Amino acid sequence: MKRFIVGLSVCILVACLAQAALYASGSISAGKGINPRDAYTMGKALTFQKLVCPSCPLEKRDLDRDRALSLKNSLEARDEAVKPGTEDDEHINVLCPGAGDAVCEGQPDEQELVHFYLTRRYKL
Amino acid sequence: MTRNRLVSLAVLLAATVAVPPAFSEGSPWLPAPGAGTFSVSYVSQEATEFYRAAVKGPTPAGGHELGQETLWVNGTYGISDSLALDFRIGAAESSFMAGPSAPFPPKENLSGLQDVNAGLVWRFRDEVVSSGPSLALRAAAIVGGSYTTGYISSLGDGGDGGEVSLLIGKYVGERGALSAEVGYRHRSENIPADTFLNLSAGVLVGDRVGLNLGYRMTDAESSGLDIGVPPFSPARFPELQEDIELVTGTVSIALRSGETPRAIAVDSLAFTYGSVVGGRNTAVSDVFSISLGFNFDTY
Repeated sequence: MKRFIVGLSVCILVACLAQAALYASGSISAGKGINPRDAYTMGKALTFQKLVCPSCPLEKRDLDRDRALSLKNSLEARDEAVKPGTEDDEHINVLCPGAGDAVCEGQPDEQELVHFYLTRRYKL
Repeated sequence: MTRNRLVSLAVLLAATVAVPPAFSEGSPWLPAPGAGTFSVSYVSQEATEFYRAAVKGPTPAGGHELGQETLWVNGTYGISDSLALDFRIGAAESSFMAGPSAPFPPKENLSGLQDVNAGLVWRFRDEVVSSGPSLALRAAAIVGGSYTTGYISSLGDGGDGGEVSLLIGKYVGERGALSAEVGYRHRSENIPADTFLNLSAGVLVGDRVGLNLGYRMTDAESSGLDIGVPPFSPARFPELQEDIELVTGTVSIALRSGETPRAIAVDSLAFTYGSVVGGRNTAVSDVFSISLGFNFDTY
């Protein structure tokens, strides 16, 4: 029994160290130090609080995989000179950092979190 | 408080005030698709009293200590936005030093693999996108462990089976969370079916520390069999109507915060103390556990 527990403990330690290596490689895309569940839940909440709601730029029926892909493309091009050229280029500015809004200073990068959510949710 | 701050706190709540993994079956708060969590928990429990039927008294042979140590490994994995897998495996060792004169045959250092519990959770309502609580259904298979039954110190009842439950979770205000699980468990080997209820209330203190109060109740169907009452015999321990009420208190600490570099990716640490406050044909155990929580991502 003790040998089993020691063996199991060794396996767990190896798994922990593998985890450390995984995080060190920067595999988390939604900000350093934020775990996937937090990033996903925050991104989902922000999506339906600021981007997709009755008073938001998009309504719930608008959001399907194609629209999610359009939003993803606009989010990925936020710092580029050449945008995708869709209306979503403007819609994503309701999310901080928006268009450099002062109100967003010190706030989390909401666009990155929503990007994380859309990418996972729709397997983009 | 800004909405962003609210969101951050709400998310942190899930990590710090959710039911401690060593004491829960399922959770309505699911991991991200392609990602998951696992935890390692060491649980120590000991008792010098037990319920003979519904009457509390010293353990056999004058209150000798009945103890058990268990190492649990729990995991969850997000299949999609609303589906997740979870599992729990463990190994345990029990002890009961009552000597050969005890009315039930003691067997020192019983050990083996604990029952495996693996389930699928379907969340059909998410409080993040709708009003009201999160709601989920869980169905799980149970595979009996490798231990010997028929002793007062046996690690469990040894049967295979399954369980279904309804999970409810709700963030309360900016720093609180409530969750509940009600379910039904059926196993082979003439083990009475259980109805179970798990309640949990948690609150976030500061930015990293969660306090949780839990209540677990298992109510077995009547089998007409009680300890010490004919036709009971030790071999029929698994057939007893075993009810239990357990109250737990947990302190959880979220270790991952911001961009702080850490050598080992432990995400949470939890300490739990629990005590059996009621029951039937069960030990009046005090329980202590320490849990380490980890996140992983396969996306």
